Amino acid sequence: MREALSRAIAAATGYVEVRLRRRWSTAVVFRKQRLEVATEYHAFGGVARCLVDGHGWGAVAFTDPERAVAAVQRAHELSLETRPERPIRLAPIPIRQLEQVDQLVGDPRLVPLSEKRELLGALTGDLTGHDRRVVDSRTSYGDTVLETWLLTSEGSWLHDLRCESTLGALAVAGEDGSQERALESLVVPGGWGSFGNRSALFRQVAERSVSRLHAPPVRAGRYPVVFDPRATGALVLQGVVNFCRSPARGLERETFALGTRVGPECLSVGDDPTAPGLRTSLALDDEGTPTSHAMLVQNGVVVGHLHTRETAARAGASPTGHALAPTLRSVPAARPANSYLVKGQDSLEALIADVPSGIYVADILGLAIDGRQLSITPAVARLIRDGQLAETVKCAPISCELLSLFGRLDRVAGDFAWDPSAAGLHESGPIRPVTTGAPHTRFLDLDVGPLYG
Amino acid sequence: MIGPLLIDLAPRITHADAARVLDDTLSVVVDGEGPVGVAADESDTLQVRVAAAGRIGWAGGATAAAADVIQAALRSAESSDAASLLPPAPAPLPSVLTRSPGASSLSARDLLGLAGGLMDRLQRRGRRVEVWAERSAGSVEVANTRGVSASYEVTLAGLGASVRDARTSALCRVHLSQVAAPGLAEIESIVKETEFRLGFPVLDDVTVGPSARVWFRPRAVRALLAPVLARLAGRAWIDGGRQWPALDSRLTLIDDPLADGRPASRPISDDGVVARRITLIDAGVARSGVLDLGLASAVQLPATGHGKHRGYAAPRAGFSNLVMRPGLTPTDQLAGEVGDGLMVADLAPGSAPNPAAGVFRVEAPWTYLVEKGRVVGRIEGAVLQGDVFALLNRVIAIGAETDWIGSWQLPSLVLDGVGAVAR
Repeated sequence: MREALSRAIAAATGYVEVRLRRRWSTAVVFRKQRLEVATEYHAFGGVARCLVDGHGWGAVAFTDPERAVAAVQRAHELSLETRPERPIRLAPIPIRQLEQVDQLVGDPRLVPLSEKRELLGALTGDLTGHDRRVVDSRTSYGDTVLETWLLTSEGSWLHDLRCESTLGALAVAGEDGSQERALESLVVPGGWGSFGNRSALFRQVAERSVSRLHAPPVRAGRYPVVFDPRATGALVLQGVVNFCRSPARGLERETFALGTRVGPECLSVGDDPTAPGLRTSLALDDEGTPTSHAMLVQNGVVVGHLHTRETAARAGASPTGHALAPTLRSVPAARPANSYLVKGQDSLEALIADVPSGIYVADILGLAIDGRQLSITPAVARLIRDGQLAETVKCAPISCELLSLFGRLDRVAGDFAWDPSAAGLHESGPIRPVTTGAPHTRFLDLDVGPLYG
Repeated sequence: MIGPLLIDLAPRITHADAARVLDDTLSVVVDGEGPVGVAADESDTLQVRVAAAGRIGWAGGATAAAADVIQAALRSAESSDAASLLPPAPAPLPSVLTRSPGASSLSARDLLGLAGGLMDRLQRRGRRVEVWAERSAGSVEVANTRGVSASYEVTLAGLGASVRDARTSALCRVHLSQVAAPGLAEIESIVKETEFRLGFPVLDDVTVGPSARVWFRPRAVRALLAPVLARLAGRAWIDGGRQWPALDSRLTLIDDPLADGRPASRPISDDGVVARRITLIDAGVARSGVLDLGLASAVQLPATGHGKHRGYAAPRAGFSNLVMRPGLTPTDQLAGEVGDGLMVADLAPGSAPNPAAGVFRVEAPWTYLVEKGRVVGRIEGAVLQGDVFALLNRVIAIGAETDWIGSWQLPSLVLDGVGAVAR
């Protein structure tokens, strides 16, 4: 493959980059006990990018590996078509050549589809058989083997092989005209056998949906809200990290300026693609830049941005190794990999101890963003009464002005955990997976709307 | 190309069908500093479905790996439950315009010219503007083992802009797409919609609701109809088709794959069923849903010609062009029908507790206050909520003019009793 890519790179002048990805994947989906999908995919995607001095980017995506040379030539022609007012520069990077193609443990390509179906069928039975009030469900199994080749005209080279496996469960409970949902997902690096026994997880999803059926609603109003680590991670990703991505030209996005105070002293946020053992960790990004830990917010003040080579050059900064593409055939932009909130020192008990009346939110079912308004639909909510966790409640969406959300952060616990569920940044178009990590947090004065429907 | 693939498969299967989609998309982006770049996306994907030994399987992938795709489809069938597939026989294709030579020949330079023209019209002090233009040209080929073998060429051209005005937090995005190449009329249409939305003053401290009469302009109507479509598609229609709530008798919704020159126009579905117009809702009564071949075979009903069977997505039923019949109220009288209430130019679907039931709660950044039949200003932070099905039985007026928005042709609707709050 390296020879083929070298031939492609040589087909044009200027900066040239070719990335090829081959993906083998399996999808099995049950709707209740009915099998909806059991199939395998074999996808291929390539992207050739070219930047001729004094011109703009030319990029060509393709699905046939034989097209690599032609794609580079076309990318070169497209680059020559544009001439921006300000020339595009790329910040320099250390040149690395990496081969990361160790034998996969539990290579899922060697496991028959029927075995994967059997696994999910059994887990689905655990969910649907748990309680008669579970009236609907959707469960899924997936695995992916991803092989990447990247070569640039500057000499960066990456050959990477990895795999991951996914389980998902959605339960809908119904009784007396009321319906409630609960969902859970789990993504682990590794292949067949990486999950262990997950029957309990599927039963818990059923149980959660049922427990909400007759839960009383929270009265609309303003409350202190304690978020669990998973919910906090989602909020940090959306409310902080998203605004610390240096935007590529042509991608309209608001960015926190360096030096801006966005939260209290207890707010420190970073992104670390080098964190060991996480499925979204990586050594080189999709431009060949070695990845690095980026501190974005320190004690409430914005201190850094995630960069590609182009955005770094424009900002006079160093590339951070966050040029990431969301799909096989898309061009990279500054995106997070493993975003986290630095832990504090409190315990969960301390966070709720002085709350006379509040809400505890475990996980988030939906997160809607419109303009600057954020609306959070809790997956599980419990009342906090007189400093103690009390009964499960139905909680309407919690809404807040997105940019001021972390101004309401009050306390951060010390119980940090990386979240193994499927997370991604809320953006239009394809979503690239992100791992989030956070402890429990407490926010003051969040608006809970009336429950509707 | 896919006919011979199916012939090779024939000894191992009962039936098979396949859809191949070839596409070349060229897109450009221009911002305040000039052209950002030009990107091309060449794709050639294949999806194969097989019925073998009483089971159905499917797989998708790059056409370059067709042999792997076929093997994966056979393995998928081996792992599936018993099911039947009743593929259609060949039939004459209806005539419909799906390709424009003008769009297919648009070069990067042409697209940069179009985008630059739109940028010139929208750019001004205090605004951040980004403009994009794109065209895709390709073909769709479908075949099955009963002898269906058809192909048609397609083009799609799009032009759009996002504008952030210094006075407002909301990002105004307007775009259009159609089979033909856009020209001055399309640029004018985007400019008109953008300036209309940004042209009103932003009002502070507005009290709204809790219930209001609301004029939903066509783009907002499109978002509002999502739960209606969810009930008309595939298994949802089979499971719940007879339990429809009453809708206003002036509402008629048609699925029209034979409308010339629209993004979802086609002579044949991906599963080989000849396309035809279907009245989904007739005078407020749900008459028909859309079924793909797999589901139709399973429930022993005729397929409606709405099978989507492409690339890596599971075969499913999908709509083509959706046309809502216009009403009698001219646009300049719609604010008068509202009296005191709101006008909504666009909204985004947000999270809702029970979306399948039609209940919604959405942020509506492009909401305007209407007083005494006159639009007086924009409200930031408006939230709308309600039950779509209940609202569609409280129709005050339907606009006499319609707009094409992508594959939708829609009038305005004035609805009563919409839950509304302003932050």
